[in-house]
Amino acid sequence: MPATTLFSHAPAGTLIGPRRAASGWLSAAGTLLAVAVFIVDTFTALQGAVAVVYLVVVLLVAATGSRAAILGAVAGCSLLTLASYLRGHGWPEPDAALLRCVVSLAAIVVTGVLSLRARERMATIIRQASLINLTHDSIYVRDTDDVIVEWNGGAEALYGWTAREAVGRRASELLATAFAGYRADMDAQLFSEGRWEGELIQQHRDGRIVLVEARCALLRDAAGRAQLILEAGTDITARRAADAALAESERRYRAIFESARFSFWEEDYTLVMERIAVLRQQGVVDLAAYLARHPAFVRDACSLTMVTDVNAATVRLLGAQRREDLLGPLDRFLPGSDRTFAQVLLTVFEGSGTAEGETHLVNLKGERLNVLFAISMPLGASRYDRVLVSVVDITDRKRAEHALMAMQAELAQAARVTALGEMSATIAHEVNQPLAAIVTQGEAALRWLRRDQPDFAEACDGIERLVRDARRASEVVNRVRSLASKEPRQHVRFDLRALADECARLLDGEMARHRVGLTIDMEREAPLPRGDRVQLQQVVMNLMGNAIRAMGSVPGRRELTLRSRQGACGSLLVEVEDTGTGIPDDIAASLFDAFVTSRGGGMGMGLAICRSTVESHGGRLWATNRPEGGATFHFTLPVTVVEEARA
Amino acid sequence: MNRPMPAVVQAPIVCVVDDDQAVREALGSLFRSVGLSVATFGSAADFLARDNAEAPGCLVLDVRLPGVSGLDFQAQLSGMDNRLPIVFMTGHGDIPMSVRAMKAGALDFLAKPFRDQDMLDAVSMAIDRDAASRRDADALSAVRTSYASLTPREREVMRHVTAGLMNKQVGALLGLSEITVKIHRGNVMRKMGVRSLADLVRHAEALGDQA
Repeated sequence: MPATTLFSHAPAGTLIGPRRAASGWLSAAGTLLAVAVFIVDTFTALQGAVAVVYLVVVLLVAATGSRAAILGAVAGCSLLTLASYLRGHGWPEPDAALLRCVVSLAAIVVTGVLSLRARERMATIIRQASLINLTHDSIYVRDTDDVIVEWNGGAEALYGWTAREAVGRRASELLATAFAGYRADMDAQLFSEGRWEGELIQQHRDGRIVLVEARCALLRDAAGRAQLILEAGTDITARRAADAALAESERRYRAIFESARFSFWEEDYTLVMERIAVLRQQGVVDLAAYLARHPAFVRDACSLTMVTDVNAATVRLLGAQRREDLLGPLDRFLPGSDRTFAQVLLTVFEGSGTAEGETHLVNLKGERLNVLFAISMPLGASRYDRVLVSVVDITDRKRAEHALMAMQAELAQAARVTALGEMSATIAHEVNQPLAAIVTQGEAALRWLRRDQPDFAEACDGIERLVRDARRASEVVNRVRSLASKEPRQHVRFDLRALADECARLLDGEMARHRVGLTIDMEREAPLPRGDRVQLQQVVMNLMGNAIRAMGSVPGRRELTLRSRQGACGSLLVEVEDTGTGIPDDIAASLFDAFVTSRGGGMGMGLAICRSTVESHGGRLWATNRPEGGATFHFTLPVTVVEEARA
Repeated sequence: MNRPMPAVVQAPIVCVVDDDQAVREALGSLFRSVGLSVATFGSAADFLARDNAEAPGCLVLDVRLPGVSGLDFQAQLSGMDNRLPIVFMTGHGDIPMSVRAMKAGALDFLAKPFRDQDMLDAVSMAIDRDAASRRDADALSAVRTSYASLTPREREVMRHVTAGLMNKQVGALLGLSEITVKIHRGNVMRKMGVRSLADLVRHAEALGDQA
């Protein structure tokens, strides 16, 4: 059986092409035969249906598969039959010769029609076969003795054997087929149900093992006897390898996740992403502004974020017994007013993948932990059900840092006090010296005048010196003042929002210690103030620090609000508001004077310095008590040139 | 009489040491207004280099002086056997400093600006104290001079007599006759300028170990 009967390896369009040479020979043979038959029929006196031999001609030509050739052969043979008849018998008469001629013609035409139909069917089969050949799947057919009878291009590609080499060989030998199960089981299923599917381990011609997903179908003859088995196969070696690599990767991820000393969390952001998608649909573009206006959204989002898995380090970190204790909504561990979660939401919204920062967690014992976290959103993913978050506990480090900072602050304070003491002593001496002279001089002059014989000359000399010394004292005072204002100042335009964030970070620990919640409410479009950033930061820090301490003993809500608004006359109004004890009446009037303090350890210089700083910037600083309790400190800063803001 | 005359009685001088000229001038005016003599100095060195170093009076001293502190200067003077009473002034007197000064013999410690009367009272007291101590010193010096004029035998007699021995016992001790002891004793009484044994004993005590 020729290998190319069905599964020709030629492209579909040229399917008939290879037969051209053969069809030339067939046509020539047919023509010769036709001529021979014609000669015999015409020029011999053989009585009989010689013309019937023309059928052979038609069949020969039909083998070329060409429709035109078949039609030509039918027409040619018919004409030749007629010509022979007319030549031998003249004008037709109803006799036996005519009958033979008609029968011959009918036979030729019927053969032609049958040939055409056979040709059509053949073409269809060839077309279908070529389609099979086109698939990348390997398809081969074997008989019940496992001998390969058909072998397509896919099989050639999969196993490396050409059809010529494969056909006639035993399939299981050629392919060294190994089964995941038993061969008998496969055969049993195949012969009972007519089909089988499964994986086979087979060998490529070069010895390489290929993993094949095979589908077998049993073809039966009309009597129902098993005749042929068609086996289609797909190479799944690469897919399997990829699957295995994926599984290995997943296993390693698991191992790292479980054994890492860092705390890892898997969180499900699906519900949060849905909420954010809704916001997007509603046309929210500036999520930061939206979140600032809707703090409840942040809290909701936090409660919609589900912890789906944590590792052992996390269980330890949060003081839990079992991992199951920690699964569920995230907001259990994140305090409600957490600003960093809003940051995470912004990251998600902007699709920028990763967010990291510092935040507080509350563990199951109710202790606050300082942590660094990093979160990686799957970039452009459609699923957010397994977002990995890593957390590092820096509570101890923070505590040490804070202790260090507190110590530094104390040292700085002590140094300031010492320096101030030194300076005041110097100033006091500088001023006291002429004052002492003045007093003594005045008293001496009085004594000269009060003598029994007053000595006016002495008295006048004394008073002149007295005046001179008083001038000197005044000069000393002026010198001190000019010394104090000589400090060179940096005058720059700065972002108040960034300054406020810096202050918030610096006071983070203190706020946490006093359980104070901070709200920063700054007009985004407010113009940038101009001034000495360091000095003004000191002012804000000082006011915030005062506010935090003012709330230290308040039992209820402890809220610190930092607000900025466009003030009157092109100025910027900044307010620091607390829910503390408010300003006591007895010091309200002298609040900004130096050496006035309501705190044990205070020097009473802070607000005095704040006020002089603000005033030296051309602003004003004042304080009010809030009717609902607590105090508000307001200060203004002039904003001279508005147009160059936010360059 | 061989007894030396005490030094000529001089008017007391108030010495003011302060680095601030205005203070010096004011104090000078103040002291002169009550008839006191004043000498003012801008520094401790100027004071030590003054001409009339033996003059009586007192020292008005600022605690804070250029170069050396008033308290250190006080110690320095004391080491030099200068007994001039000191009234301290300070721009910013504190308790430890004033305690230290008073322990070291300062007469008063006034914080600037002081009341004129306080300063005058302190200075007046200082001058009196100086005068008294000078009198004591003069007296002692007279006794020493007298004692120096005694012969060795007379000193021996004086030592035993002031120790409470009878003439007879002294004579026995020194191997002299009672009469001779009496003559020596009369010479001692005369040379020491005393009339009674009690006075002689007092002088002997003032002389202390020298006797």
